[in-house]
Order: sequence, then C-alpha cells, then structure tokens
Amino acid sequence: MTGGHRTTRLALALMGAGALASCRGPSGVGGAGGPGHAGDSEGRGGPPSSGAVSAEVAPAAADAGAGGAAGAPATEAPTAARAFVVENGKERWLDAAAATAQGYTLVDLSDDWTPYIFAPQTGPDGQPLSNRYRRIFIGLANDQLDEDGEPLPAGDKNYLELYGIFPSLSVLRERFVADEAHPCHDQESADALAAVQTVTYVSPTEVAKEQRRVAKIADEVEKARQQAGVATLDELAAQQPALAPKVKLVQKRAAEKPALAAVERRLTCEGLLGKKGPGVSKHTTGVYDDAMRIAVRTFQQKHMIYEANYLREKTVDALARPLLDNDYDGLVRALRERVVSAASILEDGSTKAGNLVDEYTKTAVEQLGLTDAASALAFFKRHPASDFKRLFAAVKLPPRPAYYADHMDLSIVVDRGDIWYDLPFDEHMNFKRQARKKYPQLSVYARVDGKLQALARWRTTIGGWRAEQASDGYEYYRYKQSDVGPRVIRNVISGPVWIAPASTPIRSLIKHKAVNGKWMKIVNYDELGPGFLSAYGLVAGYFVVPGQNGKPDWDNGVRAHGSSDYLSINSSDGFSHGCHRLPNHIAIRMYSFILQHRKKRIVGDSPIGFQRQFLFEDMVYEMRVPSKGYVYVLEPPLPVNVLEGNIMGEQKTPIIGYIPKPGVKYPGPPPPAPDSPEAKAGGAPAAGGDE
Amino acid sequence: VKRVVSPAVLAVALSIGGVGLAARPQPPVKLFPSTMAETDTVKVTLVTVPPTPHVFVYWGKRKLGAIEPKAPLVLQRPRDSGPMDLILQAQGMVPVQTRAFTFSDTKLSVKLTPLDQKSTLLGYRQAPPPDEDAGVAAPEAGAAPPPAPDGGAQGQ
Repeated sequence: MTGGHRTTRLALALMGAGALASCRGPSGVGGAGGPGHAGDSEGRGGPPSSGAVSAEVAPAAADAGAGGAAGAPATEAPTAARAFVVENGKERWLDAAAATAQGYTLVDLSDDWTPYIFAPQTGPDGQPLSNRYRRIFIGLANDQLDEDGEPLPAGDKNYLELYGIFPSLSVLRERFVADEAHPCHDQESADALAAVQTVTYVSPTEVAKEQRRVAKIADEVEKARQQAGVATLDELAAQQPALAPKVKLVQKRAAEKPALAAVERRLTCEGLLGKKGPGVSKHTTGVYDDAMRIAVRTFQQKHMIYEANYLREKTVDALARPLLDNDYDGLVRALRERVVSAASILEDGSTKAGNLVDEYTKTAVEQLGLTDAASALAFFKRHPASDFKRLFAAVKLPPRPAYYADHMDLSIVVDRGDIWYDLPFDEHMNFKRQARKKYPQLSVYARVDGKLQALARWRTTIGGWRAEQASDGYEYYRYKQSDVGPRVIRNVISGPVWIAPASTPIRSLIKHKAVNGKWMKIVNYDELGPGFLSAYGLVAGYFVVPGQNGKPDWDNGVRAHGSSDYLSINSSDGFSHGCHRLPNHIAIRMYSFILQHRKKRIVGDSPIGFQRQFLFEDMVYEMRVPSKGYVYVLEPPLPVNVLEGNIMGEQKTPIIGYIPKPGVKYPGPPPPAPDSPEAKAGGAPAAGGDE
Repeated sequence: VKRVVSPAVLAVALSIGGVGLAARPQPPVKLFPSTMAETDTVKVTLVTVPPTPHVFVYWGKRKLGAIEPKAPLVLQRPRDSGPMDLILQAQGMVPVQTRAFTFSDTKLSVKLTPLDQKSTLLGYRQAPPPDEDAGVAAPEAGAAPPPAPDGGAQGQ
C-alpha cells in the first residue's frame, strides 16, 4: 500500500511549503507565504495580537448540541451560531452572522468537519441527501472507526494524512496533552540523530556480512592512519584522498549505529515499535527488520512524510524533533485543510498564481495565536475535548483575487509528458527501464481577462504496462492507455466506488482481516471503495467525450482521482491504468474548489446493487457494492484537454491486447482483452514493479 | 358439519408436524445492545440460491445460525454500524464469503455452487499443459492496429 522501495519525493507544493522543512524545529506554516497582511479589501479589522492568548469566555456551552462525532448519522449541515476571535490575547465570542458581516471567515474546528465533497447537502426538495462515506470519514479522523466503518480497536490510531484524512482537533489535542507528559525526547538521542542525515539500510540477512566488511575497511584505514602518522581519520583522508571514501564509509557507519539505537528508542517510546500480539513481527535490536520497517512506515504516516519506508532525510529529521514540535506541524497541516476549505481556495504556490494556501494558513495561525508548540498546547489546555464537538474560529483572511466568482471559467489540462509504448522487456525477457525526463502533470486553469491562468499544477500519472487477469485465469501484461484529446468532467463522485472488472487479478481482491475475533480472508473492499484506499481514492472526476445529437457521453474509463498509492505519483516507475492520480488531499482540494466555483446539480447517493462471485483457493468470494458513490453533476461540464506528450522509443502507437508475462507457462494463446470502462483503473502491480 | 380451522391453528399444526408447507420465519438473531431501541436497528435477511438445507452462517468465530430452504436467517444490527463479513457453509457446496451492509433493511440472496461445478466460477484456473514450451507467445504477437485518431482510445 505504501509502495515499494523507491526513492520518491513529492514536490514541496503537494505538502504545503512548510509541511516538513529540513530544519529540526517545527516547520509551522512555512516561509513561502505572502506578506500576511490582515484586514479585507475594505480595510475593516486588522490582525489581532498573536501574543499569549487566554480564554475570556469558555466555549464549552456553545453550540455543542448539533451534529456530533462519528457515531451519529451526521447528515445535518454544521452551522455556527457563534465563533471565537482572538483579540488582544484573549478569546471572545462573536455572533457568527455578525462576524461574517464584518469580513471574518469562519474556520470550522469541529470534530465533525469534513471537506466540501463530504459536507451535508440537501436535494431540490430541501431534504438532506445522505452521504454513506461521511460517517466513516469523520470516524476515521476521530480515531473511532476503521476503513470499513467498524469500530477501531481500543488504543489503535488512524494515521491517514497521506491518504487525505487529517486528524480531528480532538485527536490532536489528545496527542499534545499525552506528549507533554511523555516527551520521548532526550539529548543523547537528539545528538545521535543530528550526527546523521540518513541511516543506511542493511537487509536483516546481510547484517553480519556487512559488519565484517565494514570492520575490515575500518582496520585498513586505521593501519593507514598509523603508518601515515596522523592523529585522525579526517587528516588521513585529507592527506590521502584515495582513502577518503573508505574513511567516509567507516565514519558514517560508526555514526549510524547510535542513530539507529536512538530511532529504536523513539519509535518504542511513541508506541510504534515493540508491539506484541498476533501477527506482529518481533524486532531484533540493531536490525532494520520488518517490525522496524512497519514502525517507520507508521511514523511517516503519522507525520505525513512522503518517503519510502527507510530512514531517509525527512524521516530522520522528524525522528530527531521533540514530539510537541511534530504535533504542532500536524496541527498546522490540519488547520491548513480547514482554512483552505473555509476560504475555498486552490492556489498553493505550484504556479505563478501565488500561494494563497500557505498565506491564508499563516494568517489564521497567527490570528488564533497558534504560532508554536507551546501556544498550541496552551490552546488545547484551555479547550477540553468537548469544546471541539462544535467550534468555529473567526479569522480575517486576505482578500481573494479578483477572478474569484461563484461560477468561474475553469478548465483542466493534463500533459502526459514522456510516453513509452515499447514493451517493458527485451528479447531475452529481461525488464528494461523506460526513462522519462518529463513527467505527467495536471493543471487547473482559470480564464482571467481572456487569458488562461494556471492556478495549480501537480505531478500526476498516466497509464502504462499493467498486469491483468484474462478469461483463462492467467495474468498477462496489457498497455493501459491514457486517452488524448478534449474531454469534459460532467460527474464528480465523492466516496467513489471502482467496480473491479473481471480482468482484475484475483489475488488483489482478497485481504486478511480480523472479523469478530477471527483472522480470515475476505473480499478486499479497500480497493473498490468507498474509502481512502479505493482505486479512485476519496474523490474522482470522470472524463467523458460529450454525447452529440442526443447520444450519451462516451466514457472510456479515464478519471482524475485521488490515490492511496501516494508514492507512485512521484515515482519514476509509477504508472496507472490510464487514470490521472493525485494525492488524496490534493484531489479533495481540487474537486472541492471546482464544486464550489462551478454550477452544479447534487444528485447524492447513487445506488447500483452490484454483485459478483469469484473463486480463490477453495472459497467463493462475493463482492457486493451497494452504491457507486455520491454524485455531483457539473452543469455545464468542466472542459479537460489531455495533451499527447512526447512519444519515446520505437513503438509509436499503443499495443493493444494481452502480452504473455516472461517466464509464465500458459495453456494457450492469449484470449481477447475486455474493453469495459472500469477496466481502466486500479487492480494490480505495474510491469515495472509499481505498487 | 363444516369445521372451521383458524389460520393460527393451521400454522401451529404445520409447524408441529414439520410439514414445511409454509415458510417458518426464524426469530431474528439480535446483534445489538439490549439498551438500543429496535427502531435504531436494521434487519438483514439471508437466503440462498438454490434453496439448500442447513447452510450455516458464521460471523468471525461466532456461528449465527442456519439458513433453511423455507426459513431465512434474519440478522438484526444497529443501523449504519458498518458491514458484516459472513461465511456461509453447506455440505457439498463451495463455502461463500459475503458482506451484509447495515444502511437499511436488506435481503441477501447468496448463490451457492456445488463442489463439482467449481470450474464454472470466475477465477477457476485450468492446469497448464505439461510441455514447458507451450503457450509462450512471442512478444510481437500482440502488436496492434494503428491507433484511433485521438491517440488510441478504445471503444465506441
């Protein structure tokens, strides 16, 4: 799920410029924000003091009755009767309507907050439109439910920021309070981690061999130092440059040993390593084994670090920071999504349109007096968890650009970048790498004064060679094309469901899960959805060619959607089945923005009642999908253009049909490949080892 | 003298006699806290196709009961409380894992497949031929016709 062993880094823009900087202090809102001037275009208000804040009026009694956290159906729209504002270091209440009239923006800090795509809506008759996934989204954000919507086992945590679900303020509050009492931070560990940038991965089976190799080199350079008559290895390296790499290796490994021990202490203290229970790997001290890898992965997910599951720079950097500093960064990330939602903005610094996302977040954080870990801790001590059942903050954000409107002339362009249609293996059936210099990008444009202005641009994916299961029960390769040319997005679906085509490899449709106290194999609904692990992520826009003369739209199965496979998006080897993937939180921002700035019709839950059975080993598995998601219809649809890109290699057109996998015995020639729209997305690892 | 038999008496008689001419609804298996109001629950009714005797239903390690040809198994759960992953087992049939949702009252009709008809199921794999070289097509075998004008889009 978290990808293979690849070095991938998301562009800074994807995380927000300040999400995890390389410095060892908390990253806060980052330095990429604008001047952060306060007051709106009419000059009302101003930046309240950002010094120490105290509560003038306790909010506990305010508005706590409405809504509720994960247990309730939560179909009513959360409303604010009042909101707190920080003035002269004190929180005081404002009437919500009056605050809005005064130019304040209301930022929802309630535990049942969701982004717009999961917000309660009403139909034309004024009746609430039930969103099946809203309850689960809120339950996940509050560490109350698991991915299926079942109660989360006691003590378990959902670290889902990399999947687009940020922790609620109550969850963050609990983290702050617990970490203050149990800091998990000591100077010895901090010094050990400060001495390294990364820690070299050594396979558990190679540890002894590697230790012997390094000891031999250490012995060699030590003898050379004595012979040279110098005091240190650094002097030796300066005197004999040929030995410098060996000196560097010896020094690096010497520093890595205490660093790894510090990592073990930290992960154990944070409760991520050394867990006991059925199915939990046992850790061997000093070895980067499976238990350690899983603990590092969980740590990365907790702190939204886009790195493979090794001790790389950002991971080591976060491990070296005090817990409360990391908690503070988590709070800023959570606030960022709520501010973006409240202001309904998209510009994140990925284009020349500026970085409203960080600018507005910085403004809000300063106005709320949440400028560092200490002030955030004080905020959470002032506010008990019950306050967050319903809590709005009023902030004065900078005015939005003049091109903002209820209905904006928006469009999307996907540039496919460098394309390889050649087979991914040579005549000897060896895999061959198909290098790309230009990677695919998805851009959102607004037409401003007759000219297109890019508001945001992100790395995305295009199709490539994927494994598919044919009707003979065997897997073949198939080139999954990303269509080129003008399209539209008519339907945006939140909590979308991907109906796995019959060609999906069966093995990917099964998962293990503890069901009512028994560990068993069940249908893997994770990839079907709705959910953050769905092949379509948490939200998808469906690319279609508009039907002409009364004919229906032509849907070839290409969507631009969120993805749980967050490392694939920036991987040099990452390909989709033809769809354009975005990190879930980016897809949520993009579609929330589009839906809030385009005319639309809200259809709501779209029942389908799909079911299919398949055989795996000696059991029939029955897949049941009651709904395809929560449907918004853009009227008029959103224009999309997919650029062809640069065709590399000898094959200039896509190969159609099944290609036998090297080294696999087949009962006969490949059967015909199916052609359903759903066959485009999700399903199986790529030829190049993606996923 | 014409004797009138009330429907209730008839039903009791049929039930005692085990004739099985009418469906005998089983009482719902209550899987919710006793403090919860019935109105906050949903009923999931399980039947099989074809109707099969003694289809045992498991929810994890708990055996919930059996579906009989004319006596569906009814499960009662809190509304919107998450899905239930169930296993249905019957002699001579391939066991089935299925999922019941709790959004609303539903009826689940689960198809059972006899063991000797396993090969009809999606995902059934026939054994490969013994010859090691058989069936490995050359990579070029799948070469495609020229793409459509829009760059190779399929369909329509």
